Amino acid sequence: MDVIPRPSHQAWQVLLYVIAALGAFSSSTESTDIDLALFSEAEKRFSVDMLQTGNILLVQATALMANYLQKRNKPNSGYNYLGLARRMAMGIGLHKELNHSNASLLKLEEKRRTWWCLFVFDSGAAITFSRPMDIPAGGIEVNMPLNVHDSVCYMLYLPFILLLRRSRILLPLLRTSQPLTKPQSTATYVRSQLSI
Amino acid sequence: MPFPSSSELIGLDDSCIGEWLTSIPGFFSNAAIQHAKVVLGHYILSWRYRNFRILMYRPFVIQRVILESRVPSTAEVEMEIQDHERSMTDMAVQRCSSAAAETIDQITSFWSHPERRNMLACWYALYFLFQAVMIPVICLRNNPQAEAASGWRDQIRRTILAIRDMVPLSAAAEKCLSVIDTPCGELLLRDDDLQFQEPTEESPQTQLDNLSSWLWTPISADSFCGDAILYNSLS
Repeated sequence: MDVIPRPSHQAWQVLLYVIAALGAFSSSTESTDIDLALFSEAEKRFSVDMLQTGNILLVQATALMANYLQKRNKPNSGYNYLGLARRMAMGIGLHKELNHSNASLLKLEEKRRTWWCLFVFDSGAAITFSRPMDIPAGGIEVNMPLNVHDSVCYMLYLPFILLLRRSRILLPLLRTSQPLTKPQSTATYVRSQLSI
Repeated sequence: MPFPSSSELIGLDDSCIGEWLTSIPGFFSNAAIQHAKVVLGHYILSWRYRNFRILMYRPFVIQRVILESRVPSTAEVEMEIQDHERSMTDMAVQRCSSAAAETIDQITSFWSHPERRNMLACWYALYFLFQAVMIPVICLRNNPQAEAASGWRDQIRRTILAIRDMVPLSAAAEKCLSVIDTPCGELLLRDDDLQFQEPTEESPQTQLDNLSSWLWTPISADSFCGDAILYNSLS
């Protein structure tokens, strides 16, 4: 297995600490404060000038910060970070299926996963906190993540695929308007991809 | 935007959620044993879609239980309510109650395994359990003599026991317990006095005001009309 060098971008440091905070929170079997300290380190490394850039690390970091803040009962703060994440994601085109012939399959898949994770968080937050649905109905052209093992360059992530399929079909229930195009079944999608 | 009718919601439930359910592969069905890594995710998915059904149909339960029980049933009112719409509303109320009951069964059973308890699982379990238990709480409070009341009491009691076990892992658990205790604590205590229990005398608006702070969405009695169609800012 290749060792990927640590990115030098400061955003990676934010991501590192927010993942550590989430990990500490999620795995604790008794009440803990460790995650609060770790998250505070993440926040210290998040600076305003990061808003002048856009990269996938920041999208991931802000989305996870939003998720963490929701778990720690700061939903409004989380909602703000989620907005940042989505704007930045669209700014760097994560909502489009961009065919870079020199991009690795793994990178492409990471982008899809990041976008759809964000989509799930965002639609979930709109339902939970009774905010207006501001997820774009059109213009999202990203394929669904693949449901295959890492050893063939993609990751098994079935609960997530089902959850995001569920999020997509729930939008019409919330809008009571024209439903989105029906997503393909995973099997159909994989078959169509493998036949290329 | 007007709130959808019960028949519209049931149609969307069947075509969207129902169809999604049939698309779940066999190895991820309810009964299938999961790898330890995905156990929690598997459960959360199951709780989440039921929670959405609860949210969808909850206004009809509220209307039926809190508002309609106080509207004197006159012939005029009965004629206004189409038979079809009424039976669709019955179905909506039933689906809400079933979703709530299933959620309570699953989560109380899940939490009875100490090896599954961590802060993350607790957050989701409490979040979905609390919303589910509010359905039997509302029903019991407004109709403690109903046929289904013993079922509601049982659901609430089991929920309280589970939430007590969540207190070490969640600051919100204590608060949830007091929120449940306030409206119906007394209705749960004395089994021998069941036949004397009376519905709450609180006005619909007071109940709805109290509910709002528990459920995060603003609900007002003005949002409900006398018939089965709800117009509202319930979103």
